[in-house]
Amino acid sequence: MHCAIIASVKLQLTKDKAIELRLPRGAGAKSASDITGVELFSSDPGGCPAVRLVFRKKAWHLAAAAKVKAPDGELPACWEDTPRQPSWELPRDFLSPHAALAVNSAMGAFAQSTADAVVQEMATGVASVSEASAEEKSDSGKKRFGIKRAPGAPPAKPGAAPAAPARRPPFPAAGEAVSENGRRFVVRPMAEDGFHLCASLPEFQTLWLSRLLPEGRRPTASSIQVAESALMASVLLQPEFRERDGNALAVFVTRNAVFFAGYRRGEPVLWRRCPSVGGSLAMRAAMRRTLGLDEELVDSVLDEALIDPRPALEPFVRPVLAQLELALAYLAGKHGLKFERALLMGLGAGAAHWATYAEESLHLRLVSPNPFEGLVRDRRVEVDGAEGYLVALGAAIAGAEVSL
Amino acid sequence: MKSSSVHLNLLKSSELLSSSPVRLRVMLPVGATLACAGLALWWGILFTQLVLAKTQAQAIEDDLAAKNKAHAEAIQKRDLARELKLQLEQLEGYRAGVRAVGAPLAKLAEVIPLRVQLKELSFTPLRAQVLQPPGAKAPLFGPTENVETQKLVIAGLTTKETPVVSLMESLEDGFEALVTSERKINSFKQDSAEADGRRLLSFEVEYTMPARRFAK
Amino acid sequence: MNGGVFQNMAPNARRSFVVTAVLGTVAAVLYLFCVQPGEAQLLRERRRLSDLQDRQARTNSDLKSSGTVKKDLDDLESALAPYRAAMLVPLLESYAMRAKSLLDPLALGAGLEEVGYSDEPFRALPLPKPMPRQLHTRAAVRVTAKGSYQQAVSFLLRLEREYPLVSLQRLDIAAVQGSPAAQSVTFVLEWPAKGGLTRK
Repeated sequence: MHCAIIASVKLQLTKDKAIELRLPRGAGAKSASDITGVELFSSDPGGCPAVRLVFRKKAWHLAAAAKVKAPDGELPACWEDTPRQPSWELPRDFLSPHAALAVNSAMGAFAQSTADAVVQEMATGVASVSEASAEEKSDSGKKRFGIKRAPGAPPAKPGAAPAAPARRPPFPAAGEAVSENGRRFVVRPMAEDGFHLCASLPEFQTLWLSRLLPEGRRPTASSIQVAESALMASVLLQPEFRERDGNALAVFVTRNAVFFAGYRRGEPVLWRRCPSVGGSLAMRAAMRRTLGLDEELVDSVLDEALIDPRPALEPFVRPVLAQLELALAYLAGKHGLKFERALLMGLGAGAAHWATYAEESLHLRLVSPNPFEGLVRDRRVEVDGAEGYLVALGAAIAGAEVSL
Repeated sequence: MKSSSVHLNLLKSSELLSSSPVRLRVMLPVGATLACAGLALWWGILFTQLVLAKTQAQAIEDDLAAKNKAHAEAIQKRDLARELKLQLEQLEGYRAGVRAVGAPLAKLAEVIPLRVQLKELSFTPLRAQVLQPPGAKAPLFGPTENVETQKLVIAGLTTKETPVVSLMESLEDGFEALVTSERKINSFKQDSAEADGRRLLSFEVEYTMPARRFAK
Repeated sequence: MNGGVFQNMAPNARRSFVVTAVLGTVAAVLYLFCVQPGEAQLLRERRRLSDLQDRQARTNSDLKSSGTVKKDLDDLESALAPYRAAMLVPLLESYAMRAKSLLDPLALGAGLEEVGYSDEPFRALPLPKPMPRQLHTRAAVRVTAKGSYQQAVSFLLRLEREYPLVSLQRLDIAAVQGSPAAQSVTFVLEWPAKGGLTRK
C-alpha cells in the first residue's frame, strides 16, 4: 500500500487495481519547507552532492551540504534491471521529510519544445532531440554515469520514429506526470508563447528512483527531476535574480555541457544547450592539452595570473560567447529583455577569465555568485566547491516550489 | 508560494511514499503480534492464578483433613450443649410451674371459723391437652399455651353467713400461693342437715387459683 | 478475496496479509482454546477455594470456641443434675409403682391410710424454641388415701420438702359420710419425666 502524503490516499489492492481516497488538502498540500536536494549519478568522484534547505524565519536556510555515498547499484538501463532495487539511506543531516532527486541519465531529456513536438515525443516514446543527447548516443559502448547499455539496444536516432503510434496521446496538463509508451513525461508552459519545457525519463528509471528512498523512513522522494531542469531552478534564490525582479540571463556550465537560461519575471523564456561545446571537463582537457598541464595545476593556472590561459581557454569560450550573443539578441528582440549582466553558474575556477572575455567581446558582465547566495547558511555548514552543488540546490529549490 | 513553473516533477502523486513508520501493512501484523502476545500473557497469568488457587485449595483441604476429628468432636459437643440447654429450658419451665401449697393449706386449717364445717376442698380438673388441633396433619409435640389455671372450691356447712364471710376475709391475706382475689360464691342455701335443732346453711365458694406458668 | 487477488498483491502487502492472517488465527486459537477455558476453570477453582476458605474459617471458629463449649457443657450438666435426680422413672414399667416406692414412707409418716397409686395422663410441657431432641413431660400419678385434713396437709408438706420438684396438680379432700375424722383424700402429683424424641 502506498500513501500519498499530499492530496489523497491510494490503496493498491492488486497490481492493476487501486482505489484512491481523496483527502482534504491541508498542510501536506503546501510546498515543502524542509527538503533535501540530491544529484544522482553525476560521476562526481566525491559522491552525490546533497543539500538540505529549511524555510524558517521567513528565509531559506542551508541546513546541510555534503557529498553523500551513492546508492548501491546503478540506474537501470532496461526493465529487466529494475528488480535490482537498492534501498538508500541518507546521512542524519539530510533526514528531512521530503527529498528532491535530480538524476543524470543518458536516457533522460529536458528541452524547450512546442506542444506538437512534445506530443510527437510522447507518441513515439523517443527522447526529445537535443544535440547533446545525440552526441552522447554517438559514444555508444562507453559506460557513462554508471549506466550499462542494454546489449544490442540501438540508440534512438534524432527524428526517427520506430513505428507509427496507434494513437496520438493528449497533451498533458501542466505539471502532471504522465506515462506514454514507456516514458514518463512532464511539461510546463514557458513565458514564451507556444513553448513548453518538457522533461522525460524512461518509465522504469522513474519507478526505480521512486522506490530508492524506502517508505517509513525519512526522507521519501517527493520530486524526481532531470538534472538539467533542476539546474534551471538553481538561480531562483540568488539576490541578483531577485533584485532584477526575476529578469535574468544565466549561463550554466556543467561537467559536460553549457546551457543558457533566460527568465522574465521569474518565468523561463529560454532554455538552450550551447551546441558543439563541452562542459568544464572539456575545458580542463583543452587546458591540459594546450598548456601541457597536469590536472592538479589546472585550477591554479585558471585562478592565478602567473600563466595566461587565454590560448587554451579562449578557443573554448569563443563559441559559448557567440551563442550567448545570439541568446542576448533573442531575448532582447522577442521579450524586450536587455541584459548588461548575466549569471555564470557552476564554473568555479576560470570564471574570472570568462568574465573578461565576455566583457571584451559582448560588453556583458558575467557575475559568478556563490550558488548558496540568497540562503542563510547555518553555523555548522562548511562547503568546499559550492559550484558542485548547483544541481542538488536547484532540485531542492524546485521541489520546494520556490517562485518569485 | 505559487506553484513554480520551473519544477518539472516526474513523480506521480500516487507514487509518493510516506516517511511515517505508521503504515497499515506494518501496523496490522504488529497489531496481530501484540494481540497474540497479549493473549499469551493473559493465558500465562490465568495459568499462574489457577496453579496458585489450586495450591491454596490443597493446603486448606490438608488443614481441614488434619482438623477433621477435632472439629467433629467440637461440633458434637456444641450440638450436645445446645440440646442440653434446650432441655434445661423446658425443665426450668416445669420448675416455674411447680405448685407448692402445703403451707397455705396448713394455715387454712387455722383460719377456719368454729361455726364452719368444711365438707370439701378441691381443685377443679384441668382441661385435657389437645395436641392435635382440627386440621393439623400431625400431633404437636407440646401445648401452644404455657399457662394453666384452676379453681379452688371450698364447700361446707355453717350456721349463718357471718362465719363464711369471716373465712373469706381470712383468705384475703397470706394465701396468695393458694388463691387469688377472684372468687365467686357458687351457692349459699339451706341444707337438710341440722345442728342444735337448727337447719344448717351449705355454701360453696370458688376461688381462682394463681395461674401455673410453665415458663422461666 | 479470491486467489487471483491474492496472487496480484504487491509482495509486501501479500506478506503482510499472510503474517496478519496467521497471527490472527493463532490469536483466535489462543483465545478459544486457552484463554476462555482457562477463565472458566479459574472461576470454578476460585469458587471452590472460597468455599474451602469459608469451611476453614468455620472449622477454626468452632475449634476456637470448643474450650468455651466444654465449660458450658459442664455448667449445663450441673444445672440438669437436680432435674435428672428428680425425674420419675418407671419401676417395672409403671410410674405408679415408682411413685409408690417413693411416697409410701411419706404417707406412712403422715398417718394416711389405704394409700393407693394409679397412673394419670401425662401432660406435655411447653416447647422451647428451637425444640430439643429429647422432650420432657409432666408425669402424673394419682394418690388416694384416707386421713384427716391435717394428715393430708402433713403429707403434702413432707412431699414438698423431700421432693421439691414434685407439683400438686389436683387436690380433693372430701368428707366421708358417717366418719367426721377421716376424709377421702386424692392427690394428683406431677413429676418431671423423660418424654419422646422429636427427631431420630
